Amino acid sequence: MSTIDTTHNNHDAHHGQGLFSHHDDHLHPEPTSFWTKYVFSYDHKVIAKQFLIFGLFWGFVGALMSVMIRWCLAMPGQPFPLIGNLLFPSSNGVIPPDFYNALFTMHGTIMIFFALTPIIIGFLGNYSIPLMIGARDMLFPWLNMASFWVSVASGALLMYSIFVPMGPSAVGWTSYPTLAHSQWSNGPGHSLWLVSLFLAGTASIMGAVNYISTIIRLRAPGMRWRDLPLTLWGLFLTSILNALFLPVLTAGLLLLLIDREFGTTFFLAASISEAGTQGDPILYQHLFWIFGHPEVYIVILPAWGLVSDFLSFFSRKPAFGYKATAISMTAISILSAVVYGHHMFTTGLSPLLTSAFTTLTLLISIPSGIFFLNWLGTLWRGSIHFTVPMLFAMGMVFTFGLGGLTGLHLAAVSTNLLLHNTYFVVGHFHLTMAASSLLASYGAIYFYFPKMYGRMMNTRLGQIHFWASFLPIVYIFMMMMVAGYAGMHRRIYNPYEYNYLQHLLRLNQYIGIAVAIAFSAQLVFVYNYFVSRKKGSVSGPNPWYLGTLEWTIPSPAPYYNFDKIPTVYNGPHEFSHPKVTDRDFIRQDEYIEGISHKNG
Amino acid sequence: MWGNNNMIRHSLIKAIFRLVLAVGLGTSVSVMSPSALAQTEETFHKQNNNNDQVHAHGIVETRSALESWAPPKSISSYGHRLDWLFEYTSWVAAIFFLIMTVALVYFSIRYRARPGHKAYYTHGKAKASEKWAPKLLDLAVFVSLDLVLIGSSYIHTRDFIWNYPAGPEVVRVQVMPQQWVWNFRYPGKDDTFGTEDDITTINDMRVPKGKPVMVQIMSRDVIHGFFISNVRAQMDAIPGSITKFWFDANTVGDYEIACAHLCGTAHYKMKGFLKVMEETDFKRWSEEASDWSKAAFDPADPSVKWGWNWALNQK
Repeated sequence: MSTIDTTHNNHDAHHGQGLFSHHDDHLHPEPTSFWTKYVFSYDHKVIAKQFLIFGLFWGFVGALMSVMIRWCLAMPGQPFPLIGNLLFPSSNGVIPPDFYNALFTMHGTIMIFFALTPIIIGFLGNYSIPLMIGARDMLFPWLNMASFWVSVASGALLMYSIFVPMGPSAVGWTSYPTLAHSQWSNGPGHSLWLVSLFLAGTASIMGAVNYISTIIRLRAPGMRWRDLPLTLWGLFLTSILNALFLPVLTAGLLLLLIDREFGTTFFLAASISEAGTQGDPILYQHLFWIFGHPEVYIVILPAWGLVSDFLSFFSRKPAFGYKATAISMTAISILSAVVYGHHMFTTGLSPLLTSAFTTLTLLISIPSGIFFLNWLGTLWRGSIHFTVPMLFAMGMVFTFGLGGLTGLHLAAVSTNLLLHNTYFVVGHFHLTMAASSLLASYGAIYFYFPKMYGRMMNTRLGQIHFWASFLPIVYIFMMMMVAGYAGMHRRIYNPYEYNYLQHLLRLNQYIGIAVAIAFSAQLVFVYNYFVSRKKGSVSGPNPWYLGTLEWTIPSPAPYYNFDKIPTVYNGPHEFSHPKVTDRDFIRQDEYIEGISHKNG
Repeated sequence: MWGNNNMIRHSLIKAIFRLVLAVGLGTSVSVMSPSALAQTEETFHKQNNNNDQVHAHGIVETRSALESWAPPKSISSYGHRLDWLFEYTSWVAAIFFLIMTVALVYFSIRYRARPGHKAYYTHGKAKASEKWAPKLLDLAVFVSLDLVLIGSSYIHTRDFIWNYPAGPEVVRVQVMPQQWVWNFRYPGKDDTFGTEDDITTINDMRVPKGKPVMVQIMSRDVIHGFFISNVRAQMDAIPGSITKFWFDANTVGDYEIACAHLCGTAHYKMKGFLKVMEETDFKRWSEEASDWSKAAFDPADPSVKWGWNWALNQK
């Protein structure tokens, strides 16, 4: 295994960016053994693929769980088809209520920490950062590898926790005490969940430190901050949020674990624990949400950046208001740290706090509006190519617009009191953080597939995949908001226990149908992915005709990415420049008199 | 679609994926099949018709398709103000969403790539209008939505959310949920909590029509959410600390109290009932119930002893 990789990169870090050319003769041969090449690889591109497969596997598990959840709501008391009798023999195939609670707990945990995070941060970050900044690898390749394998350990623990006696964790992904204490959720399931998430958090912190350092230290000569593709702005800000707030979550989880396993009372209130102890379950909510709200942005920021880039790439037009978009994303990252209280409006916060959190939360709509309108500005008078990544990007613009506007209802304390803990919340956050990041993730996969494998994914199947996912997704989450406004609250096994929810049966059945369609559509993607790897048409180095650095090297990307570290002279989005007539894009690493900047 | 080499493996993969697709689609079809739907509705109604509690309270609402988009009837004096704000926000947001959708669709058609069409080179500051148009539109959203929400939240907080009623006519109730029932406590005839004539009920909350009701809540075990959709209010029940809110109910009838916060396996069944009575009926009931409570009071029974000092937790 080549430990020299780290030396190489540290060396660069010590000497600054200008010395890259000295290292051309330090190139090390690609590892040849199976273990060093595919398993314990230091190569950021291999680690990216590992994260991608890891995320797709867990995404499939999480999606299957959502199908089961929707089955319960659409077909209360009916055995789950095909595999019901296998999984739940004691109830004749009907999903039992405690397992239903485990399902939505696991669905939330898996989708956030084991599907979206590995794909949109682990895969996209690892794959795009070194290639887009013109580096040969991440700054800390060993840390990068460790981040992935800690994620695997965390995933293994979570998987194991599903099969332990007394069942997996069933207290919701937020894991609120005191329900999460051993008195009310017995058995090893939830403790394993806590350890697993602790490890997942650790892995993310490792990745975050690496991403931040790499983007700061390893940018190619001449690459100014304003020459970074917006994807990297998103990933950079995400990593900062991860590095700042995941430690808070992991600390909270650790305290809860100690409460469970060693009988401390950090989160147990005096009146119900042993005399003389003073804990507070609300303290956990503060710890959780001071991480939990930035987490929404952690998952969505890379997606915003990516979509900003895609809209420019495929409209063949510079990103509209690049600087404003970057500043807006930074402003949102800062604001995200001070708005978490809107998750706790029903815990009896004082009016001073509710007004403050209402106002701060609603302030986020200013920067969000700016970059959102910049997206539309990018499309305006462009020359729009509806490639598959572009379809996903435009789909994301739609879902994020819808999700963003419905966030207003939840930000204000008045309307929040109607909607807190209802399906309105579920529909809203699925549109913003789930559907939007999911669509962007798919866009990223279709986009980088030719660079990963040297072949294109099938366009027709990609279009089918997009429409068969996008339309049901919009329907599902819009109808969830309708159900929520009609009073349907979250996390209930059988809503029809309540008379005022009985008329929602039909609606929930239609949502169930849409979920089944959206789920099946993902199989088209899986088929396309695995078959196109070997059978797709050969892509060539620059199939999308772009100027960013990753498209200046051959496809699939060679082991050391760049033979010679490029020098950057142009921004990432120089399309349709009136002075360049033979093609409609300018490479970041070419110098054109009168257009390029001279920083290189 | 793909090259012809390695046909056998290709068709094998194809077959596997066809199978998986068939399973996926089979699930969708079995959900969609009319007989399955009909069967579900049948068992569903059978289950609910056997539910005595529902019949006893007789809360069966029939709704038209359009009404199913609306929340249950608002019965509190402030519910309509929250509903208005929700509807205002939704409509204005819908208008902006419509503008966005129209722009997306129009740009997609008007500026689609085609021979002879070249994109306009701008970074968004070539003309003054490019610089200011997004900012003005953003400002319009902020003023018409965010400022209204901030202002309304402030006014609502001042007027009713944090403006608790006081005085002799206020009905005071202590609520202590536990897995998975709602315990209610009224001060009884002597108007003092923690005495022998306190009325305690399970899953049965009664209030007089039109009178303000002050509720203090604390949980016995895990966090629960006291949620009455009809009065448009909810408040968490937290073990170890007391939360409070108030409401009033202007229409006589039976309503449901839901637990809005995940509280364990039977969370979905943790349903209480709110009975809004005429004032005289309520008075008669509370006096009778207070007498019975006093007569039946058993100092050895710890389950009746829950409760806390009202005044200490009121302000």
